[in-house]
Amino acid sequence: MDGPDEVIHQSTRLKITATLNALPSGEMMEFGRLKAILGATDGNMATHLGALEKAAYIEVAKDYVGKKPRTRVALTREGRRAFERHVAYLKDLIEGG
Amino acid sequence: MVVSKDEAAQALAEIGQAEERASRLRGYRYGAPYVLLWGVLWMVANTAVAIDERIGGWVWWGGVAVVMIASAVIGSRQGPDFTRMSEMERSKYKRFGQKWALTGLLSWAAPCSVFAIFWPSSAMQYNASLLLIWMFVYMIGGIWVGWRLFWIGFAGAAAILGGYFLLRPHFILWSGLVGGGAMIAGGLWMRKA
Repeated sequence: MDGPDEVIHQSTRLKITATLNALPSGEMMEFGRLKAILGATDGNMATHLGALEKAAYIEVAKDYVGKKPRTRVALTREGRRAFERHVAYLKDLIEGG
Repeated sequence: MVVSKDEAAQALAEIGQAEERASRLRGYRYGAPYVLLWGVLWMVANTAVAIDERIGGWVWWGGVAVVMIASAVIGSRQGPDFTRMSEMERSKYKRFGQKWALTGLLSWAAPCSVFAIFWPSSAMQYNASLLLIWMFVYMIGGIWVGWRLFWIGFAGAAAILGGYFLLRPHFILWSGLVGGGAMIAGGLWMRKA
């Protein structure tokens, strides 16, 4: 059995990855929307997204819609695999594996 | 790092809640433009029928065609980026799209089949029964997709039944303004989710 993923297991990062994992692979979520869903602050979000980006679990895209800046995030393929491994680990742990 | 069974159970519960919430809100955001489109059509076409029944009939048929084309365009634009998907995911979404197309087709075929047998005796009955069926489709869909959709259907159905029995001389206008207005408000409500 693999061990827990220390990057993902932290509560806010767990919620971020679970939320992004609910989207199809090609879809990104706007930063503001993700923040609202999780009820987190700007600073908190930036810290945890930074940690996930450093682990190459998420990609962050910045662009403009008209004159308004837009930041979007998505799980990378590696992030999705890491999340699935972590969920499998948690399930194994509960089932006594 | 050591994780206890209790922490694992707590983490899995948090994951389940986050995924459910994300899927529900995504459903609202994606469904909102369709609810708005049909709400605008309902309002405009019924108001046209109230002013002139013959012209209103044409507005309905033309409007349905426009809304169906617009819905297809919105559906293709809102879809995920297939170039970034694995073959398995692409085929999953293709099946998902086919199921939605079939759902849309059956949602029209069902009332058409019923009307072929029980043809309404007036434009008012036709209007009320068709819209009532749609509102119940919204309510049934809402039970599975999210309660906002259910309450939009509930408000629409209540407006139709109330207007049909209490405001019969002005029913078509009532149906357009109140029913259409409820759908537009509901669509905006879903979009804000």
